[in-house]
Amino acid sequence: MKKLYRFIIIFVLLGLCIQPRLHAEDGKDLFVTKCGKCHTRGDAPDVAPVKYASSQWKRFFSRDKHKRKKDISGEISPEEITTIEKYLTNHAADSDLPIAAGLR
Amino acid sequence: MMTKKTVFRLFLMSVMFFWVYPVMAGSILVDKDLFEKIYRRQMILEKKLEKLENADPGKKTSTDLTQEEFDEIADRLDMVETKSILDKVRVSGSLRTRYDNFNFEKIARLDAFGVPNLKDQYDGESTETWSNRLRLDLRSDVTTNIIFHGRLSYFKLWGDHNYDTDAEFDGDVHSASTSVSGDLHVERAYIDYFVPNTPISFTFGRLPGTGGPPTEYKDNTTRKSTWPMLMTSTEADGIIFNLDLDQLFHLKKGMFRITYNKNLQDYLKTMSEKEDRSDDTRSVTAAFEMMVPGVNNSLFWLSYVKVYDLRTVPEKLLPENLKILDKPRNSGDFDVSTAHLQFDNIFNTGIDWFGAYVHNEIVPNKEGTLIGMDFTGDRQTFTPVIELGLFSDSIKGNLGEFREGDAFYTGLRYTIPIQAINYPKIGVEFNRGSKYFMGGILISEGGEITNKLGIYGDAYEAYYIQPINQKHMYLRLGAIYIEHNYYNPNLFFGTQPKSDMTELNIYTLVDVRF
Repeated sequence: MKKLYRFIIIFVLLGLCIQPRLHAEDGKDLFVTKCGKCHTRGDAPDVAPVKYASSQWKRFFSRDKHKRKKDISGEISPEEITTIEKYLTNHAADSDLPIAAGLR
Repeated sequence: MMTKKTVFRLFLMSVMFFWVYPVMAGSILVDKDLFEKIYRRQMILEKKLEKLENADPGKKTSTDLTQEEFDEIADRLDMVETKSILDKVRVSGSLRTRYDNFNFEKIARLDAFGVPNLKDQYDGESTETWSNRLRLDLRSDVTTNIIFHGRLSYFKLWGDHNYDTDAEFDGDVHSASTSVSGDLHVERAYIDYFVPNTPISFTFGRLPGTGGPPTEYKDNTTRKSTWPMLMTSTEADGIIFNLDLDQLFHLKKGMFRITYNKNLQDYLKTMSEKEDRSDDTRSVTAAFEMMVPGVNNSLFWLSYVKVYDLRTVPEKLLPENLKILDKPRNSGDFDVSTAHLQFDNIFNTGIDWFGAYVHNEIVPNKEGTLIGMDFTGDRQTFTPVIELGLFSDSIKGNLGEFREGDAFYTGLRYTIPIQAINYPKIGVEFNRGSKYFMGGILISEGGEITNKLGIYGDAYEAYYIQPINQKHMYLRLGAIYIEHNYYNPNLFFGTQPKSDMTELNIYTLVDVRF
């Protein structure tokens, strides 16, 4: 059992002490904070990446369809929109979604 | 004294200030032509407005649809909507065709008792072995908080059934993604029920327990199962209590799970008058996982599994000249502790890395399964020869001895940054299992004859992934080299005989996802 505890300690230290960002955000945080402002508070319908297929998300952004409902250019920068678009298309209904018990 | 001239000037300035300025400020001097142009424009606009106000609302213009046309489109959309609502199950899947070459060296022949004889060895090979694997994945969002998942699987050698693995000997835990006969079978069928407005969810049914991390590296996909591969990769029915720690404590991708499984169930155990029934094999698992803070697409995993009342030696495994004469109701208990760490695309270098460690402790039953041998050849008279227990037997006199085992598994994958050839990947893996390692990795998911993760020895693998289509199709070339230290991988009964056997498996496969 000593061996096991040693390994667990090493894994915990590795897992919890590695703080630097090893690579860039995948856009989820941006999506949650920016889009969630309206889309989770009843001001607008709930939205999730799986609502549309990736091609539909691409069309949504290329035609700036959000503008029909609300102009968000003052609230979200073009760079942020690009990041959000990438996140939504990568996690769209037809994307290769992760599977495990209790994951939506 | 002001002169008359000065008075006259002051008079003129007063007139300019009090009379001329207000007049100028209230009106604009407009050129006559411009005025007429504006006037004509105004008249045209007024006429257009009057025409629009008097227009028939039902009359079609170039941009409008008639009510009839609009209704027709609405009817068509109704049909699409109805179909969409009735399309409750989304189907996706993958088809894999695989080519294998196997070379074995120093295979020990079995003696009359079924024990490998190290002094009598031979080499063997199985060349040009083709197989197909089909997986149909199902998903139905019954409601926003009730989700069904399923997977139907099929694996078959071309023109044959399946590899002669232990899959046929009993039940679920020996049949990850495969069926002996090559039939389509249910690998997964479970419901995720998310309790509304809480971080709690329940998963029940035939659970997602096969091909877990880091299998997704080799399969060029995303995570497709719950448990890390070194911990277990078996089909199992059970119930999982999930606590979403991300929702509860904002612990990124944090999840705590408690699982109850029935790995072997004998429903006649209490109804039958026979005393040779077996106890049910049950397992309880506590598992914790989270994303390493600040590192997206990482996985940190700790778990503990306790397995109660493991089954005894299956009769189907014995050759015809051997027979079970007596057996206890179970062969003992064991537990498995697992730690797993995984990082994708470290420092944006394209390197993915994983490491896993498993430690297991076995408490065997002191009573083993009594095996009889037919010395006469009549298949009627069997003489008791040995008692087999977990990693022990009566001949060695070690029945009931406590055992500890462990295994280590690590590897990395590198994505070659060449867009023109769809970012191919190369990877290497290594794993080692000790003499008494006993995880839940039994047979392979189809493809390999030996599951390299279940061995008592060392295994090396190198592979190259060539995406043919970035999303739907890839080719994998690989080689697995295994050095066995002990025989009978994944078979826990009897004292493990030593082994010098090596295996080399060179393979090519094409996977298409749809």
